[in-house]
Amino acid sequence: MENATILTIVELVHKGRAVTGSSSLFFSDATPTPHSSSESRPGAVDSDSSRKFLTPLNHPAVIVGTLALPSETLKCPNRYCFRFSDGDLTICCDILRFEIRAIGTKICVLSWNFLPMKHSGGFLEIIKWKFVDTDNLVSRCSFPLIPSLYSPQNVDRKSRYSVFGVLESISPVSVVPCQEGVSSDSVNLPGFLVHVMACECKEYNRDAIDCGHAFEKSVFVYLCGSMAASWHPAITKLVGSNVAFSGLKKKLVYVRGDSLLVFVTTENSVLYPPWLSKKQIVLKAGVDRRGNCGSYLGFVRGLYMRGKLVEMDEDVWLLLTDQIHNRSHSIRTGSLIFIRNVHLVNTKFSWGEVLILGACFKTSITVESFSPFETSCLVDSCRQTSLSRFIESLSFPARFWTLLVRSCFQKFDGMPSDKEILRSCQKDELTKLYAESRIPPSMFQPRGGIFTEFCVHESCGCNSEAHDCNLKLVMPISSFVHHIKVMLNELLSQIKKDFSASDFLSDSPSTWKRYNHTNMKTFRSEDTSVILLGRLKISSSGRLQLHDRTSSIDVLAPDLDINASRICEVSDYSIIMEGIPESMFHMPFLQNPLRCRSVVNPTPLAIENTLTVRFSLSLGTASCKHVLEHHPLDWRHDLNEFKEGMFHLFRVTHKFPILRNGHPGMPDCTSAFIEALVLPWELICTVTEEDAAAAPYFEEHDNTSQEIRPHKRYKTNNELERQRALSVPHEISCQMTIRCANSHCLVTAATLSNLRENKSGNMHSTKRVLLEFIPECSNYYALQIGGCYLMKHGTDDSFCVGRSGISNNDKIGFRPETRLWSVEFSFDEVLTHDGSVDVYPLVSSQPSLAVEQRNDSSSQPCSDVSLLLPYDAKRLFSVFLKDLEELNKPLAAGNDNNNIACCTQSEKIMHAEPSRVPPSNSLFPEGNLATFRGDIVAVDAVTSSVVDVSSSYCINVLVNHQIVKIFGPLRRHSYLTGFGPGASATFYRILGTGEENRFVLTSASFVKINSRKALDGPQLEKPTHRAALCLPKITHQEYVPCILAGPGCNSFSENKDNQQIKFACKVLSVYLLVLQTRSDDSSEKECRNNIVIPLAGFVVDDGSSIYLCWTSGERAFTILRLHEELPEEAIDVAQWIRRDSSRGTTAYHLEQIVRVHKRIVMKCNGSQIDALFQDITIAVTSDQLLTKSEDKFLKWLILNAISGPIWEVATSSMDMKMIDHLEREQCVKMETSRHNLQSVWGNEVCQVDPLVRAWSLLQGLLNS
Amino acid sequence: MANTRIEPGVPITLQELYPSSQFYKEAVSLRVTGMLSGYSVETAIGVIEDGSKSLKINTQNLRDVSFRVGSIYQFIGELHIEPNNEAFLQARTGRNVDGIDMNLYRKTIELLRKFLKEEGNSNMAE
Repeated sequence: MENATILTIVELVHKGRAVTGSSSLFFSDATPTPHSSSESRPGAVDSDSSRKFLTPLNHPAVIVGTLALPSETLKCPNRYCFRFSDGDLTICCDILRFEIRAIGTKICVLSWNFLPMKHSGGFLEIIKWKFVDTDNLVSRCSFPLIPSLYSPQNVDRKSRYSVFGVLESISPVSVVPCQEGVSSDSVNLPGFLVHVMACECKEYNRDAIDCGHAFEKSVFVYLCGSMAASWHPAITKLVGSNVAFSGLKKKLVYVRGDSLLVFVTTENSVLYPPWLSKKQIVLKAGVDRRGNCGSYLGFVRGLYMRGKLVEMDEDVWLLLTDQIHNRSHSIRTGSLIFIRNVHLVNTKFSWGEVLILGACFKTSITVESFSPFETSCLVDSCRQTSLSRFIESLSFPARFWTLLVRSCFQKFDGMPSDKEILRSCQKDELTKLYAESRIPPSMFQPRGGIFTEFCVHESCGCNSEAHDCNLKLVMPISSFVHHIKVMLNELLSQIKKDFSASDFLSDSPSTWKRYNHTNMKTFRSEDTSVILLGRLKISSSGRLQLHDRTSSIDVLAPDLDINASRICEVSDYSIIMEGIPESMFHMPFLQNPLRCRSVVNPTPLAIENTLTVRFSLSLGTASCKHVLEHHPLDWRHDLNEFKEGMFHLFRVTHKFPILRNGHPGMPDCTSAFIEALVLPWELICTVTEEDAAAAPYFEEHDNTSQEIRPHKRYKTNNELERQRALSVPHEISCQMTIRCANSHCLVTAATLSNLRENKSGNMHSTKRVLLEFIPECSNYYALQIGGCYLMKHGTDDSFCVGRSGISNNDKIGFRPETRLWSVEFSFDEVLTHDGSVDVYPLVSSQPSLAVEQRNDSSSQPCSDVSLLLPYDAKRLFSVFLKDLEELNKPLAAGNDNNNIACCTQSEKIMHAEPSRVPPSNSLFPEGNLATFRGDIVAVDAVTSSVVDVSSSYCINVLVNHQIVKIFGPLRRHSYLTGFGPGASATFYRILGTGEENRFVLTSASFVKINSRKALDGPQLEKPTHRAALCLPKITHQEYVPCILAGPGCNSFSENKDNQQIKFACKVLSVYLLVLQTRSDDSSEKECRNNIVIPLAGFVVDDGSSIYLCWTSGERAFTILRLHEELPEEAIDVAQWIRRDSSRGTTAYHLEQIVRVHKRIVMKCNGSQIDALFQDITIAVTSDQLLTKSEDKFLKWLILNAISGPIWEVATSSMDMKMIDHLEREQCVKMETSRHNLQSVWGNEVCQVDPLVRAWSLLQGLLNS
Repeated sequence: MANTRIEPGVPITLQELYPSSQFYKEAVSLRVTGMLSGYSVETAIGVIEDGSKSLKINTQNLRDVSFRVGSIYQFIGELHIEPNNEAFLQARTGRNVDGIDMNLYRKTIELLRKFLKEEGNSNMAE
């Protein structure tokens, strides 16, 4: 102390640095000063590496000055802060170990933090202090609320009341308009209420305190007037201790119709500071709960949303949403705060449970220990926005949710405005609109005034809280991505634990790579209950992505209106994870609880991602809603483009895939190409300035129900126009609907003019051209095959620049800035009496190509521009629009062999008939090109050469219930997001090989992913199906059982080739089951299970007869449904299940048993269910006995297999020789003759989709 | 009571129900299938849709069918043509057939007709 320098505030403010200082220091360079404020529970504060400790001064220093109550002179947004002045300068301050005596006296601050602040220069946190002059302190034990300087000291008879008791709560300072004195002007009088549990005795006697006072009477004291109100910070510090007021007058206040007695301070009121009572040692527990209200002591972990949202502990959040709160600056990240009279609302959200500390008017917060970190001070924003008013009208859970939503909207780049306030207003508006649409009415609560809520607290709405809340969590994308990654990593570590290292890691990485595009796991949005907000965009890599400022995620969404300016709400989606190691399929995903922290503070921890799992979202139908957005400038700008413009019209006929480097036989090329037809028509648009100004505005509330098609509303009666069109055949008047951002639509007149008129006969028919897109040009991705587009005509547009006209096979370069609009044609149907509009189904910007007609019924007009043409023009335009087959003549004219066949109906698939291609000496493969759409069933690796094209993959596509095999090098196609089993894709221009249902992908083939099945809920993604679908990729040794692979089984393999019969069947019984632990043979490791089934026999029924179906390996796994989850109620296997819920598959439990017994042979002779368990024998090779539960479980296996679905089995017949062979190999006596059943060998097993089966039945009937 | 015999409901698609169609007659018994696009509780009249075609169904005689817009229903009943040449089906019975593959159903109708026709021909030949 002696050598401490005295610092002035001016010095501190001048330096402008956050520092901490003390009168005596034990300073060392390495560690920060041991801090009084960090001494308690240092571990409780999140040790975030980004957080910086306050810099300690390197010399002992004290500050001497006067502590004062707030006054008008110090401009602080928090308004009611303590002041600290050293004569030269006054700054805001907060003080620990506060004593009323300190007010107005000179104190010496021994230990302190200083934080620079914008508005008043700085903020002083007084940790330790002492009086400078201790002599005349003793006498001070009463404090007039209004200094005697102002008060005339005439004792009024009215102000004779006094109150003393325990100070329960304090309200924030509010302003009441009232008339003062003789002047009739109304003045705003600040004041605040305190609630005191008082003793009823008349006289306040300081000495008689401990003797028999009962503080049982609830009394409200109103401290009225600006002088009295300035006591607010001081009295806040006294909450919980006993105080006394004297010189009060009584007033009746009407609150909600009831009168309430309130004591009001006068000029003579005096405050008596707390006296120490033996009873009154306030214990500050962590959480103290009394009814709904309670107190909470904890460290502040983060302040968000301008201090409205305060993170306390894990899943404990303090809401400071009421604007009126007067909070101390010292509520900073890292400070220990004590919150009194706060609503403790335990809320169950769909994503997890959160304890919300809802601050109301009774809540007071005191800082118990200042933060040792250099974190920013809490500064109240006085601005009351419509959002803050809205939030105040909600219940606490809804307030919390709305604040989370607001923080998500924070993650968007707003309109191109450089004004931060404007942008924030826009987001506030957006949040409000969004929240209003989501929050149920029950979560709104009426608010009373401050008097009502403070005085009749229990009766107001604060009490009745909804504790269950089905609002879904809205998350920024980066947090979402992070969440999934965490989940994956946990799963991976789980697997690593389960499988021995050699099993899992030695051979798996190569296997993953090999099947990278096929291993997929999906889970639905319901499982995560997260809503994402984002904008859709096409990334530079050509993928559709949902993005916000934090991150982006790949999206698979067929037929979506991509409007980059709109914020979409994605609620119904599946998360598709590609490239998951197969062993992960059996693992249920652990549901991590979501942390709200990650929403408001999306700075993901660095995750070491050992897995290269790509994941993407597959949007469900009607999942993507546009969040309302006001973009007044955007659409005006859009419309301006149409003002007095002329537009080229073209139609995309093919997209060539982007060729990456090193494509064989191709030079390195970075451009992308699109083949298009330029129509000999030009659109002349006549949008005027007035039109644009008066454009109607449609709110698109619901995409599905309310179809925005304005031209339907405007009954078109353009008889005149039609006549004009007839008389002038080369000009067609039409009605144009322009859809801009934000659902603004403009309907205007336009003219289609035939180019023959304009350009001396140069353009009397369509021209086929090649559009070249340089890599920066994102237009390539937006264009759809079959779609029509508009491009503005100008002197330098791509179609006009440098040429007098367009001729066939021209190469036209596109520039990145070129804007294109999708256009859709519709024709006014005059024949129908109601004048309805018949939208021409074949052409729209959406891929309503003939091959994709299935989508038509659900398609909505999503194009940028719709043209409504007179009915007569239909015939004229159908030439250009309808007949793709005719138009799709190949570029190289004169080669008629290469006709491109495009099937016009989805029913008739391969139009390209398997014509016999004559043997040719050509270097290149020859054949017909085809286009079709189908569902990808499996992608297998093959190493064969089909039609001179070396193929590494074979894609099995289900097209109208026929499997079509497409061979090819894949390359680029395989890396399309979502490509793989379960995807529905359209294959454009693939080469027929001459063999039936065999095609080859060429470098000109284009693959479009239309949709991804969510694999029909949880069933299809189950490993049984995967095993079934991808059966061929299981080692070939297993295909023909290993035991038969000798020369002795020649007859078998011949049989197999010759007489493979497919039938659908149900399992009646399991006849024989051989289970054993896996041998060390590496070839069998493919199964990745520790058990193998060398032989299994099933009694199956195909509806007409009963067979004994023998099979082994993975097929037996499938029929036994071993990969499926073990139903808990099925059998009492408690000791296995309870061990760990994450391993729920039957295979896992079976493994436990087989591991013990090495080899189990189970025989069951009863083929009927009623006699099933009567004749069952289970033999084990180990010398241990089967326990009762093991026995039960094995029997349950049979039941489980019997209750399975209908399987489709491809079988070949078996003769006695083979059965003998099997018996010998497996050392079992099968006694097949006993049943007199025909034995068959099951080669392939897959589950039957009844619908698919019905279709194929129908197909069979139609063909017969 | 001219016609007391109740005919079986001939399965048709709504596309086949146009004014000049053989099925577009008063009191003809039909079996129709489509998605319920609207239902009025007061009048008990629902509208089913299949593609672009729709048909009004009077369901006042049905008891145990619960109607949910968006679901697919099948009704058997008699067609009545109102003076304005608009038709509605007086349903005898109805059921929810959600999950039906309408394309497949259309095909099966065709197939069924073909079969019945062949059957009829062979019967006549006998």
